Amino acid sequence: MGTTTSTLNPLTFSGLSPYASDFQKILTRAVAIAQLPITQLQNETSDISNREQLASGIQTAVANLATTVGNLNNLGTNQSLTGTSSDTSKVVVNNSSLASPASYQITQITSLATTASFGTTNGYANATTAPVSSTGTMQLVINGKAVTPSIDLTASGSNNLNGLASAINGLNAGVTATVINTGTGATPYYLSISANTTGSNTIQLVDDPNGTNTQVALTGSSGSNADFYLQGQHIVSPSNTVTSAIPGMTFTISGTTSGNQTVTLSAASNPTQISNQLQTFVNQYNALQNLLNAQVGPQAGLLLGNSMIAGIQQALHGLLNFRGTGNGVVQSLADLGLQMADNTGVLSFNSVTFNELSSSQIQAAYSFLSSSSGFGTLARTLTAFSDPVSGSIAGQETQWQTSTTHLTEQINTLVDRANVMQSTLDAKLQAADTLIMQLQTQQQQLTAEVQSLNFTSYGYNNTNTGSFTRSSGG
Amino acid sequence: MQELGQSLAHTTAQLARAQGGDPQEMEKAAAERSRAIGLVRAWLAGERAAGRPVDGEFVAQLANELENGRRLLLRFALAREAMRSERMALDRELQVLHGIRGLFGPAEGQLSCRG
Repeated sequence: MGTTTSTLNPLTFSGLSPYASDFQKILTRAVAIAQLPITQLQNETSDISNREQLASGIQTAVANLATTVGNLNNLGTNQSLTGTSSDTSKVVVNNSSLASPASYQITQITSLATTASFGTTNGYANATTAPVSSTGTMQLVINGKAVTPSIDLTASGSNNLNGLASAINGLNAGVTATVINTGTGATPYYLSISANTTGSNTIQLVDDPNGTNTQVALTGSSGSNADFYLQGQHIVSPSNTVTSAIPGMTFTISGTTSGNQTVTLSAASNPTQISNQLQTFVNQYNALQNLLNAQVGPQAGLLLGNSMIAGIQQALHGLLNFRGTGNGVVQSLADLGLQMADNTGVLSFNSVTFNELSSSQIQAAYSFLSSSSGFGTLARTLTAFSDPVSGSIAGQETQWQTSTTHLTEQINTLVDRANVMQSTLDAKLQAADTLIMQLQTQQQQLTAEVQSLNFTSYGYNNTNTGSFTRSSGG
Repeated sequence: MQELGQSLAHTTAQLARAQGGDPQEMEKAAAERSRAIGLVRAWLAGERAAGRPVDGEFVAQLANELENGRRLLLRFALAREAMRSERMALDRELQVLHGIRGLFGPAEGQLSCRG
């Protein structure tokens, strides 16, 4: 489906009336207007827009498939290892990127990491005027270390609970202060100071640190660290989420153990991940193939004949028919349960075939999928089409954008031309109106004179239509 | 009298020839015809005041000029209608052009919301 253009030729008006030439001028003008190549521009614009839309859809479909092929390659490389915990009420595996199967024992989880939180022991009558410092100078101390600078409440209106909370928060010392109103008693206002992260931390507040150095009485908990043993080694972590104890595995302590209870963290092969990705691969392959099929054959869309389509089809053909180079029992996607329906060209995944693979066959599948010079290259082949910057589809879109720029220039030229025609026509219309009014006046004057003469000379009244009628006065 | 009639006929023919051409020429021809009609009217007023009858041939000539004027008026109206149609067609085409241009991005002076 391409751009359609047509040329209009002026009709020839062959009437014999004195107005024939006027009608001819009208017809000629109408053709001149129609020859502004707007229809052509519309077609071209629409085609480019539709092509871009189609290419964008194909680009997304190819990128999805490339991601899945990459995922299969990664699963082959890390042998589809999945991290699991024997007791998720105690320890949860967040993620695992271990390269080989492994197992770890966690014991004696005696403590979870909690947050330190304190409150003033004594209350205050209000948060806005009741003074909190004898001198207006206070000091926050965390884990025995004074936080600098000291707290300055000497400014008017700041020596109160609200001022103190605001000053503590302004120190950005890893704690948050808030004012609490219990609503009971004569002194219902208290200051609460909590650590922003878990772990064992002490918090102190000192009034007049350079003088009387008086501790403000605080009540609360200093928080705790997560405490447990990993493979017999004592671990104390200020956070329940442990990222560095096992390189390649992150886990979270979620409960304490009792007695000799042991929690086992494992990284074990999980072929289900591969079967899931194979099913995704099949769905994405079929979706992409549908998009490509719509651009070939007698009912093809606007991308008919575009080399990009043929290139992607060739890449898909190579993907499906890829054969490994090793001696393993799994040498193709068909060996993993992928099959093509002969009559429809639709790809499907036979999970029964996959699930019947023995563990040695699964190992062979890992080898087949992990080959960086084999199956791993297929993702790169697809990405060469779909990469949003360097891919060939992006290159094609750049060309269309150039065409769009050219079209825009053409449109601007046409708009300018039409604007000039508009101004000229407006001037002509104004002149025509003036002329017609002038001619009408002349006609009225002549009519009056002729009527007057007819009446005087012959007793006839001449009407505007040119016929004569006898005057009733004659 | 004969000269007046000829002058009127001449200016009418001039206007007919100028029709559809240079607007200034048309304006000039129309003005000359107005002057010729003015002279005829003045002469007729004089004859009427003097109580002299007007020659029937002259009356017929004036009636003929009236008919010629009517035809001219019709032609002017047709030409004007053609221009009006042309103007409307131009408006429509300009709208389409602006519409197509709008597909490519914001018009000048407008901000693009595309990320």
